[in-house]
Amino acid sequence: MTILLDNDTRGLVQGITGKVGQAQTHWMLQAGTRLVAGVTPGRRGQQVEGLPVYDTVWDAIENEGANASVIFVPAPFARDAAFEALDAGLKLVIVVTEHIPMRDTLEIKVRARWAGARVIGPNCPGIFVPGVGKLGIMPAGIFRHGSVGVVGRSATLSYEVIGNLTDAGLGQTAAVGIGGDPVACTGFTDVLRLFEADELTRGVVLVGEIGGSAEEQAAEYIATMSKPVVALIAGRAVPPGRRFGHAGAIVRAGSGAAEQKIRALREAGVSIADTPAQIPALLQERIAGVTDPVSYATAPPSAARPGQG
Amino acid sequence: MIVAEDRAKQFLASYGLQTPHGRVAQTLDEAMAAAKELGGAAVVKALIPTGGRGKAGGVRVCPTADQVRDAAHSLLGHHLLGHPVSQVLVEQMIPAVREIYVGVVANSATAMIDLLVGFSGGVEIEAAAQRGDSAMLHLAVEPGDALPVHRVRRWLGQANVEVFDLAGLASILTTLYHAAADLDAILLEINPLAITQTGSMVALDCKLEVDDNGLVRQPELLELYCASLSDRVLRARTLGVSYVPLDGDIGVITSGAGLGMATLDLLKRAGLSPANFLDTGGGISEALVKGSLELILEPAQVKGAIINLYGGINRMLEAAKGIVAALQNIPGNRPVVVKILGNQQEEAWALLEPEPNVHVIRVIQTEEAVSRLAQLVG
Repeated sequence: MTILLDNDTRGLVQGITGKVGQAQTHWMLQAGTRLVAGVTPGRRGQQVEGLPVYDTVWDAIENEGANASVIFVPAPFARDAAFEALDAGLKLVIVVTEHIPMRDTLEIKVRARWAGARVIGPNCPGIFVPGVGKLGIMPAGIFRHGSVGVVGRSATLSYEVIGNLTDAGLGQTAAVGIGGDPVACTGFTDVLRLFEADELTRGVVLVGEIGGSAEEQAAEYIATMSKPVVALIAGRAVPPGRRFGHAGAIVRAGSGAAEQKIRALREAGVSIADTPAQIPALLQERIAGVTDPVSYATAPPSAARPGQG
Repeated sequence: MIVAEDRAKQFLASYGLQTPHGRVAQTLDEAMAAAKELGGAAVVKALIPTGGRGKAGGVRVCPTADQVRDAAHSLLGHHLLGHPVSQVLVEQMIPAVREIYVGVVANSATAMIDLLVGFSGGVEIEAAAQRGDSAMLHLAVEPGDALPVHRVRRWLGQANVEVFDLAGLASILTTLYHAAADLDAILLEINPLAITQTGSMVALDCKLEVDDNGLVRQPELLELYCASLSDRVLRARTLGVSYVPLDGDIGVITSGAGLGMATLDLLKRAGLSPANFLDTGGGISEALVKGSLELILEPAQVKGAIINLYGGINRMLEAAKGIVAALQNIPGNRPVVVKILGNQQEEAWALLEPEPNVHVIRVIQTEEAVSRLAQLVG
């Protein structure tokens, strides 16, 4: 069993004829992904990387049986592309596009809720499932098949974490990038639920960062999880009130600070890594059940909570 | 982007809301002339893009022209809450019998649009909101909802509070909701909304924060935004990267914000302090990397730099060429530690390693790059 992608996935690329869409289609195919079609309005009949291009998502579904979409359409048109995928009935839509106005993202999220569909992103690297493939842009070279789930807001920091895991011999069941914008259509908790239910996943790494309250929300769910979670929160050294690349990474008065997130996660039983390189050892210990999370905080071993670890 | 109060009020007026007469002044003479037009008495307000201004002394009620002069004198050319005051807004005084708070917020945590009404408006509400104990009415509206005014009237009617003018207030709230949508606003609030003796409702202050990603469809605001950026930040924007100036002496380039923040955290752990932070975003080319490196090495206090790139499908040889090209034009021998991974990484390393000031890190651990840099500049 895998999460999100499996051997029944028949991927569709919206924006396939653009420079990015075309290149990423090549690399998704290289990673073994089953892609069946592309969509660019007005380009029906063309081929990209051997895939047929259609004018509409409906055509791609009808002719090729597409059942999931990854969107590389430029920001001004991305809302419409996501609406089309949802209106055509797709239940898994990954929006890689960055710089989508927040209003548009909010409207995509509402429509996904109406449709009972899962939208991941925007401004995200998508999904990678070793052994199955990827919908998105994560580099295949850093992965190895194994039993760790990874979920992160930042793409490249997640890559660094995955690389560290792989270097340490800890392969992955899947990695999901939820995106760096203030509004993510799929949150940490949604992905954590999938990992919790996945029989192959033995532990999870959460890659968070300053801004918003996604990590605090995740902490509430993690407290109920049976599987160990290790987290890294980027941005402890970042001064408040400034925006650091990610639109979501801004510490506002009274919220979004790293300390708050770390406290909430620790209270939920999460082991906090101070640097990416610390993650594999922390996770290994937690998976082996050797260490209780509380001992990573300042509490003495006697304060260890029973039933965890 | 935070839109200046005078401009934000022009937007309100264009939606048919009442705002005080007023004028922006950059000099004492202009402030005096504006006050004279208003009949002598005026409110003088520092035009700075932040809240909490009233409590900090940035809003002066001036019953006489002399007081207007004094207020403008003490504000213009000074700093308030960390912002230089180069303009003041001189406005008509509106006596209020009651002040309330109204606001529209795009709530990123709930993914809803929040309509808020507070019946204790004024400066206290900001402090109360931060404490999280504001007694505000709150209506969550689904983004994209056409929100007819009758729903707001019904909501206000059911709220069991004494609303001075239910129909008028509902109309203002509904207008604000639609204005916020049109303007790609993350926040649009009127605090206070004054209710006058004659029963009219006047927006005495207005705070408007617009989503930076929405500026592409707000051409007029985009122009104002670009005009407000510093030279380096603007050049970075033109280059297609994001640049944040900081106080330290280490230049930082990363591909991606999260990796960037993690790099800053590691620098701090190593006792190093960043001079800036540049995020290349996804599309890495020779010209982009060259321009980025030139930009981050430009401040004189920068004594070394770290470049931390994940190419993904971008050709890293292009990035390496950009680094070499930039360093050719920059005198001095400041160390640049480079960790680049991705497509063509070996070719990139081979090109960079002979460079005298470049130190290549071939592993994925940013920790290695930071500790090398610490040795080199320490």
